[in-house]
Amino acid sequence: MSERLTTASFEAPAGVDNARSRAMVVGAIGLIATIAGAFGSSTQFFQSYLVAFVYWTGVALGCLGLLMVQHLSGGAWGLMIRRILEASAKTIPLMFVLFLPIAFAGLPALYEWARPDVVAGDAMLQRKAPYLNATGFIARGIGYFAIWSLMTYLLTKWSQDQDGRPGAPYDKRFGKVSGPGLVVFGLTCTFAAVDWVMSLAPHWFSTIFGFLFIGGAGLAALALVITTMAQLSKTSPMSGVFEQKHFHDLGKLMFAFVMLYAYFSFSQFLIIWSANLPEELPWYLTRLTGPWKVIALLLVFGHFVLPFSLLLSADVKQNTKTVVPIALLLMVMRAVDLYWQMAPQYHHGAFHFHWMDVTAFVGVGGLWVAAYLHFLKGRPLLPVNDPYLREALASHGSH
Amino acid sequence: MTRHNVSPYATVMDDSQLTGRPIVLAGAGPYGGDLEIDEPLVTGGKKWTDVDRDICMHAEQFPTKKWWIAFSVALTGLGVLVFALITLFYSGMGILGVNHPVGWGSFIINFVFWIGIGHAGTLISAVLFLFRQQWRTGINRAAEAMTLFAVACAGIFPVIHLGRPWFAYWLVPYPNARGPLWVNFNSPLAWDIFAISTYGLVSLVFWYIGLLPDLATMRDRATHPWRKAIYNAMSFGWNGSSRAWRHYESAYMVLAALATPLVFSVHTIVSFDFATSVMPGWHTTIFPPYFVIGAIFSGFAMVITLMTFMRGYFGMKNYITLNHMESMAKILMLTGMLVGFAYSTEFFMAWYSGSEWEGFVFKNRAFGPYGWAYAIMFTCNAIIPQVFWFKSMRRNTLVLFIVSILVNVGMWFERYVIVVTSLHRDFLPSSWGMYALTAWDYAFLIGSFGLFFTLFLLFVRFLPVVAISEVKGVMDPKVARSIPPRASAAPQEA
Amino acid sequence: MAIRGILGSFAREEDVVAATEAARERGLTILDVYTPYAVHGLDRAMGLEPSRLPWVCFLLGLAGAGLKVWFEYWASAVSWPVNVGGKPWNSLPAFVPITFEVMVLFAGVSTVVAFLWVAGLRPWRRARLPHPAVTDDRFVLLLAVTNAAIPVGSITQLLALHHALEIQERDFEEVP
Repeated sequence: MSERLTTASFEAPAGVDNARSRAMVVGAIGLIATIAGAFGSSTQFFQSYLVAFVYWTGVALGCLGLLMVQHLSGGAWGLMIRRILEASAKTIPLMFVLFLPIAFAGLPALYEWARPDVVAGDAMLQRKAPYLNATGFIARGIGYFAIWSLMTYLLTKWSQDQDGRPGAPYDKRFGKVSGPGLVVFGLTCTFAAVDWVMSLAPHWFSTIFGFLFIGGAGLAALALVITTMAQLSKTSPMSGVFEQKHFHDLGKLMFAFVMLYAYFSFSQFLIIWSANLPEELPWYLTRLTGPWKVIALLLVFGHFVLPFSLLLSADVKQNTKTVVPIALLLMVMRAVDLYWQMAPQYHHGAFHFHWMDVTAFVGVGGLWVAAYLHFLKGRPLLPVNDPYLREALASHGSH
Repeated sequence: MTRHNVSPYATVMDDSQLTGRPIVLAGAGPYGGDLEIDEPLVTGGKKWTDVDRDICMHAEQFPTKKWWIAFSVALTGLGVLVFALITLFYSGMGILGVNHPVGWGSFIINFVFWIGIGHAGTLISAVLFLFRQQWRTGINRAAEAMTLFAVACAGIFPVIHLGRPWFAYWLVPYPNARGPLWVNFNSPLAWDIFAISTYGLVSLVFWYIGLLPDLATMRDRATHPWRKAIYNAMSFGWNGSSRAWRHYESAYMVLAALATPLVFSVHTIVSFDFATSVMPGWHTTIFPPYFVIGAIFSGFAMVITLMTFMRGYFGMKNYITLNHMESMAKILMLTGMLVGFAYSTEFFMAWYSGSEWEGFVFKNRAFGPYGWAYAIMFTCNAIIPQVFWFKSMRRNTLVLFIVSILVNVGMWFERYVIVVTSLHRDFLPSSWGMYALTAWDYAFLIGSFGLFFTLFLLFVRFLPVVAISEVKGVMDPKVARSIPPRASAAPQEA
Repeated sequence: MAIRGILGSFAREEDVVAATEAARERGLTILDVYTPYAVHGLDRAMGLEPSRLPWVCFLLGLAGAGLKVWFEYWASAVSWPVNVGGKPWNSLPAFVPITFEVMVLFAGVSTVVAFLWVAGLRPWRRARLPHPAVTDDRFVLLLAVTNAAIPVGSITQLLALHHALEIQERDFEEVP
């Protein structure tokens, strides 16, 4: 890297634009189909929509978390993917817009605690009403999005400022926001997970749930980052920049998240399974009967055993041809996992699959990806004025 | 921030010249801007030869007076342990405070406490290695030794808590004359045996592999033939061959990759001892990560305590610099916040769950008869480490030392709170009771510290306390090599 | 068996790597390179294959895990089934923690044993040092004088060109 690096050297290639248009079309078709379906069954619409919403918000949140982690930890891997993370985190305000239908129209269709007739006949839900009520849910939701949007705004804005200031020293504000930011991030994500997902089963509770949600979001985010990097590395300007060693680093990180997520979810399962308590066990009982059991086993293999075994190999992690299919598999498995956590609650444990489950996912996903690529396109793909960049581009990939 | 034209590594002589901020090299960066590089890990303009001398010195010369004083204090503590053990075996468990309903007392608290401390060493060696945090090289050897000694201390307690420790081998599943009746593989107590022994053994071999090249250095410096022979045997005849280095690096990498999940698993399994039960306050799904984080927290606190001694008494300030201490302070603060996060989550969930028992236990924890212990725990673990938001505090060795000790006080009380509060209020109020430590409980606690420090001081006396070969690998060769820089550029093939 | 060899000692890491690469290009027999710490890129310069220790670790780990699952199943469900808390005899979830520990134990210990074996490290073996400072601050390249086509003088010249501090030609009892 002896030539001068400028912001123009890392303009996003035209392919990003094309992909954005395609994602837009796919998203529009999916959303139109889902909205049309809403006239048939608005309950089903919200049930399918919530899973899609939580999934794609999770991807954006995972990226925001990783963005703060890499500002604190430093290291080449973080510099390489910073712009990808920023683009993804910038979609958080969009997800807020998509949150509004749930907040203002969907609650009774989704949550038992939001149906006055159910609450009237359930002493436990009455006891929980100080937390589980519509006003609180909406206010908290707005609060989470406000906090996440603010953190994203500051981090992306300063990063953009850096592009215009060649030769400036490292901006210490990144670290100062990211440190406390991660604490706030952990808290808000935990509460969001309780509100959006855990309270679908209002009698059930698990203290590890926040970790589980954050771990899953981080995993999906890394899978997205790796997939994006692999696509970008095919053409100029990133073809010579994203190298094997970077894929190796991120592959290792994804591998760590695969293990971490399996660790969290197995710990939760083993503790509840061992204690066998009537207030906790039903959650797993419904999810381990009938077709849900098949999905649970699929998750054990697709979410852990298969990616874990494959990612053990350094060659698999380094080669985009092998690591991308694994990343895509993990993104799909994350969706299946959320579906397995959320959907059994809608029909009192009965297995019920609806076409809108797919169209809502594709619709929200298409829209999300289009927004993500739009933000990715808007900025140079590397923070060229970061004082550590040269070191990162030249650093050794091995120990 | 001052800007430099050439790397100032050779001129950084001690802590006072370290800032904990990057060094800015003017005009060396991309775009004609500045390049930021990290400050040197080793100060004092040391050469590779100096590293050998500085670190082997403590094992080569006759121990100092300071060492003898520390050793005799530690040995006294060990004497207390031996005396307490003899009394326990002679008189029985009745000398301790445990009774109905608190049947798990200080032994379990001490066990979890020491196992927790034992987590930082392997974590530093393995996780920081995988994350390429080069500052680990200054502290990993001593931290790993700490791990082994802490595991040894921890291992004593469950065995003597058996009541009849001479039957401890019944815990091992072997074909026996009792049926054969196997151990209960559903029980987390059986998982413990495997977890702790695996952890001890794998940590030991991991540590020993790292020692091989350094023992060879000690051998080559030794002049006395016996000493040479002993270190030669201990170094397995290591001679720095690249063929050996290649396998060494591979084995070290593999062990690091194995040890990382192992560290997590050990305290997870310890947490299962509590969490798989049905006791309110114990049975909660956050326990595995919460215990692991708490273990890392207390382990790092103990590393900071020990490193303060090593810097002060053993003259290691050039190898364990203020920057090392600051990095550890950051980890301490981060894990402290995560621990505080877990405390809060537990409280929130106890309220959210709507469960009578959960609600009662947590109210009782914070405001019941053991509220004072909860207050100590919360203050020491979640509040005091917050001083490290300030850089000046992170770089103040006195503050670091005090906080590191307070954190371990807090972590001991965390286990006290968990063990005692859940048990002393049984489901039936007629079964309620209180628990107090007896003098013998204290004797065992003090004695375990005696054992720990005795082992640690022996380690300091006989083995290289800093990983010599690893430190050499992260030093700037321009400063560390034995000949001055040459005028000519890279060699050209004739 | 005595081997005629030429030893060059260096003070710089990059010199010994460059000299090793040059020697390999010239077709010289590299007996070994000795360094005080692990030098990156030296194995490539010497043309060594990557270590196969990860395979030992993987296979033994797999074997340990497999054996342990089988044993726990056999002991709990076949040899002496005991009803504990109404849990099934074949309680797979409860077997996971120990299976993991035994896997790590097998994988870790076998890797270390295999490492000592392939690296030729034995506690009873006396270290053969080509130069007294290889565990201190010297990098030593040891070349064999076997190929008659390459005169000793040119080997010495190659070492000198890469800034060798000392060059010795002597007999080595055995490959150190």
